[in-house]
Amino acid sequence: MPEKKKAGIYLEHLDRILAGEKDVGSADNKEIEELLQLAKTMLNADLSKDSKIKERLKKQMFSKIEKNDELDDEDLDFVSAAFTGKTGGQKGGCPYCGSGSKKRKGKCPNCGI
Amino acid sequence: MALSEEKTLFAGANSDDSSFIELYDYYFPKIYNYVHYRVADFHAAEDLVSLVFEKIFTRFESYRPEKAPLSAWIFSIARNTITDYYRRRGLIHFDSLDTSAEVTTADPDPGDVVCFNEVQQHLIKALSSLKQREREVIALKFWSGLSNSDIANLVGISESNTGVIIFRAMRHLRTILESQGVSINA
Repeated sequence: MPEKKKAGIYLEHLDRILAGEKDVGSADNKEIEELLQLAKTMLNADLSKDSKIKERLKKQMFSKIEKNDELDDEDLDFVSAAFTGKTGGQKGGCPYCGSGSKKRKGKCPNCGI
Repeated sequence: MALSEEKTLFAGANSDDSSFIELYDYYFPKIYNYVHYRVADFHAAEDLVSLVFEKIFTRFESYRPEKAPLSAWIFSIARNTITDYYRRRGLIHFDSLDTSAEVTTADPDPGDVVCFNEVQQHLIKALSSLKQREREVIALKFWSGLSNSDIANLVGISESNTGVIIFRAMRHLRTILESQGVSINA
């Protein structure tokens, strides 16, 4: 069988294995079958199974997300200004732009924040 | 991951932490394997995995779903990170994976791979014997979830060439594994 044809049959079966199909049927060729078996062996030999960095890295990422959610200095200035009226906004108005319009769906209709 | 699921996860990751963690859990094994398939040095590979996620996290807001699938965006970051690593070390000089990349990298240090089981150790050793281009395409094929067409675009080769490289690399891997005494019987 020409190499190109073999490669075509192999890739067709390989794509089904990678998509999670358990039974992809026979390829009717010993070499292709062996290479498909090798592909299954590689997938089963998932190197990340016992990775020690997975949870540590996740914690690092998560703590960064939490930090980003905290108000930075600029945000705090806006909040403070809203209560002291420094932004020229009305009491109870948007702390970012000073608009006195009521929030709609949790957002200021003037600045969208 | 189906495109619709990917879009849901992406939208969620932009607005709440649990979806971002879900995205991390989904991509961690893929990125981890991809990097270890391409970099034989265990400690360097571990650092690179962290670096890739750091980049994904810090650049997440710049991702545009209408331009490319999330997987293509994530793996282009992973690929560029590894290219930078090899450039910095001066091991390989390549702008694209052309014929000048027909070189192999050093064997992994046996002491570094003790955390892997026997099959995994044989696999890592065999992968390190492949040419860089073969490792690249095999790593993308097995772990990125991208189509041959997307892999071809990412690597800068034709789609038909991608298929042939995968087939030949798998043949090559089988030969290497058999020479290590690993039997792959269908």
